[in-house]
Amino acid sequence: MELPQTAEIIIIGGGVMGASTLYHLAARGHTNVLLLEQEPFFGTGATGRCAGGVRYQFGTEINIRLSQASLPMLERFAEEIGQEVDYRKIGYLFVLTNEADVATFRRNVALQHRLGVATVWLSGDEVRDRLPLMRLEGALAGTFYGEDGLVDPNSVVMGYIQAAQRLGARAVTGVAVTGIGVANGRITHITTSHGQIATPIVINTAGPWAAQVGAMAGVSLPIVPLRRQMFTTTPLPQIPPDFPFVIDFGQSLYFHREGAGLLIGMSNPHEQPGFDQRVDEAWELVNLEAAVARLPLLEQAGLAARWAGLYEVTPDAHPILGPTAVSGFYVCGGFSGHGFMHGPIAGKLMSEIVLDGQARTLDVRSLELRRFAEGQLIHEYNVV
Amino acid sequence: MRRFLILCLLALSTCAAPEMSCTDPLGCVFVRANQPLLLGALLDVSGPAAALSNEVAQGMTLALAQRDNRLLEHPLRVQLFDARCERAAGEAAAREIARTEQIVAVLGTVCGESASGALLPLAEAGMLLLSPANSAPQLTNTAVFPPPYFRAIPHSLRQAELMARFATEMLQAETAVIFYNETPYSEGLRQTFASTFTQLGGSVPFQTRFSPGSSLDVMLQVVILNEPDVIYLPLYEIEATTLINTALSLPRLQEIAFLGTDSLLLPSFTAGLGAAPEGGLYVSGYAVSGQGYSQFLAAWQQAYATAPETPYAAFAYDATDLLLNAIAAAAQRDSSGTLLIGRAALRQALAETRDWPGLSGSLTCAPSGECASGSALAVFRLTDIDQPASAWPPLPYWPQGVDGG
Repeated sequence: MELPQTAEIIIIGGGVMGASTLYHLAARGHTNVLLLEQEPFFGTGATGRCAGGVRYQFGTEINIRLSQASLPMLERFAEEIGQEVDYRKIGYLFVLTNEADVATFRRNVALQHRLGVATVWLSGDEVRDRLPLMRLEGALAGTFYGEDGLVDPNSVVMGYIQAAQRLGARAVTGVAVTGIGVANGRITHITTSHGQIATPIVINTAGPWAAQVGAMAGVSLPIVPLRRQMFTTTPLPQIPPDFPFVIDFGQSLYFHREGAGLLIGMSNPHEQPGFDQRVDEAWELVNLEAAVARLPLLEQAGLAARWAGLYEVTPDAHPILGPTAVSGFYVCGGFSGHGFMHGPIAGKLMSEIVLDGQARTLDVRSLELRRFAEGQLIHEYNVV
Repeated sequence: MRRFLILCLLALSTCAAPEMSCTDPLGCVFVRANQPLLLGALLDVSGPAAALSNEVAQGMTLALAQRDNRLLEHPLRVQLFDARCERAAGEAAAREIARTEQIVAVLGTVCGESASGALLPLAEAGMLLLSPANSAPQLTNTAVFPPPYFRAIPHSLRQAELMARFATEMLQAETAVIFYNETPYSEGLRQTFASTFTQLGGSVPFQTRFSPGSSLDVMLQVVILNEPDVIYLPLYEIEATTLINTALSLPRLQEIAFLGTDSLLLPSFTAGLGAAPEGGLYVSGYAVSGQGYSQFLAAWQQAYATAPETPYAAFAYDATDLLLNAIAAAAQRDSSGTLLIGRAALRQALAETRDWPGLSGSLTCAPSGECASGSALAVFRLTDIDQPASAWPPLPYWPQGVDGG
């Protein structure tokens, strides 16, 4: 494969962040942009393994505003990008089982209401009424917002990639970045498995591998990969079509319809950072037992598929968006499990940061890397 | 309860009855409304075929894009597995695929070795494997490997048939000698060339195995005694270079024609020759052309801002297109949008493919699983050994009007 010797901008990573950034740069007329993906297909890293959930219900203003900017882009995706993405507004229902979570979520809902997200507060009985198939005796309260839902991740990635290619930008697979050249504090080039490319600008959208890419440029990024796994069941006809995305927040246990069955996952609080993407069968059993305790009809189900993927986690569970100490080296990563849903707006914001010097659609200066050095961390409570 | 769940895990989906009945003897995949239709891609991502696997993946990606990444109103999703160009890795990856029952069918592999390991686990799961790149002839031998296996690329022996026809029809050759090596690839080509050439009226008075320790001078003296019109060389680059350069040092072999296989269709091969054989140097190989291929090249250029480096890109496109067409033919769809795809029905639909207008020609699947068109093969003339690398690959030389449609 022949790669160009120069590029105005190089994007490293072909998941949703890279694809969206590529498209938004190309849409601004910057087509001498090259996206490099190390795998043979786009979007087969973290994006391709995510659950596809999209939501407005967050506990910090910046995350809510990112959703308010991003999710409408997904609603308009077919019209604007030319690719159907199957947005299904099934709603997220958080189930709260302890007083501390109830208090926090009351504050979160107040914040959401202030920002225009009409989340519904549910009593314990209302939660049980909405989820009669589930065993939720301990539910104290819940929250529900019907605009939250599901979107097909691969369609979003391929939609952006192909739209960018139609505009003249270039995205290639099977190219591994092996080094980033820096001279006098500025980006000069990258080296790849297919040769060297001169460039003044590199955007790091490598997801769970972002810290490794950062290290190539001499930039330390506090982003660690963390395994998350899920499975799907065989059909469960009893599950109604309007079954929401249910999150048992106290256990980080979630369920949503996947075809005629369910997709179920549960975060392991003891998971250690690493790139292992094999299914942890011991944790899967823990997950299954917790899931059956909440939803006994799972005893009638079989396992249809299982897989593990990687979160890209930062210390404050918020993304890093913006420049670094190396001139020309930008980061768009560390979304801590929210990356897919915020991918559309993140790519647009990155295009603004790179081309205009700052984001214009949304003020995201609070998400810059320097916040960690300055002790300005943001705390998100609604991390699943 | 825990024990029940573990049993369910082991038995996968057998613990629950689907709401639609499946009567397919090999089982069914249900793709519910809004659920992606999942394809497996068993490629050799790491190992010696990594670059080729990437080009194959790019061809698949273009084929999916041509359908807006959707089929029967379901988003298409590809799950990638690495067979590493090894039999054991191919088998391990196939066992992993077999555990993912939502995978409708599998595209791959690139390497024949990994395919040979993958076929049994996939067959046990009722999953078909459709390759865009496996040229090893024995893979469609059901006495050795279990079906369902299909491929969209001509197997390597068809090159030998083509070259035998070229030798007799174009070069008017009546006598051939053959140098081959110990590999199954070379052995298969030797046998096929010899039998085809003989059936066409020619004779093969001398065939010999060539190895680094061979006494080449003696062998070439035997060649001279037999006065052949052509020398057929199903060999690899270094062996063929040595043999041709040595033969050309003998006056009585300087006007003979040398015939090679796709293993020699490399710019480095001609660069390694000391002189151009006066009698001609021809190799067989894969070739795709035609209007459909031109449109494909334009789409490739738009997507990747370059040209594909091998014809395998077109075979990958064709394989993907064939599979999607077969899935569309085999799938049953209910009013809710749920698809039921029987695995035997899918196999049957693919096997019934007739005259499908692929990039590599009109594709018809034989009961053996061979779906490729013979028109995707050609003979290339490599006499102009000093041609620049930018002129590579050369245009097909024979037959005239090679056209993939």
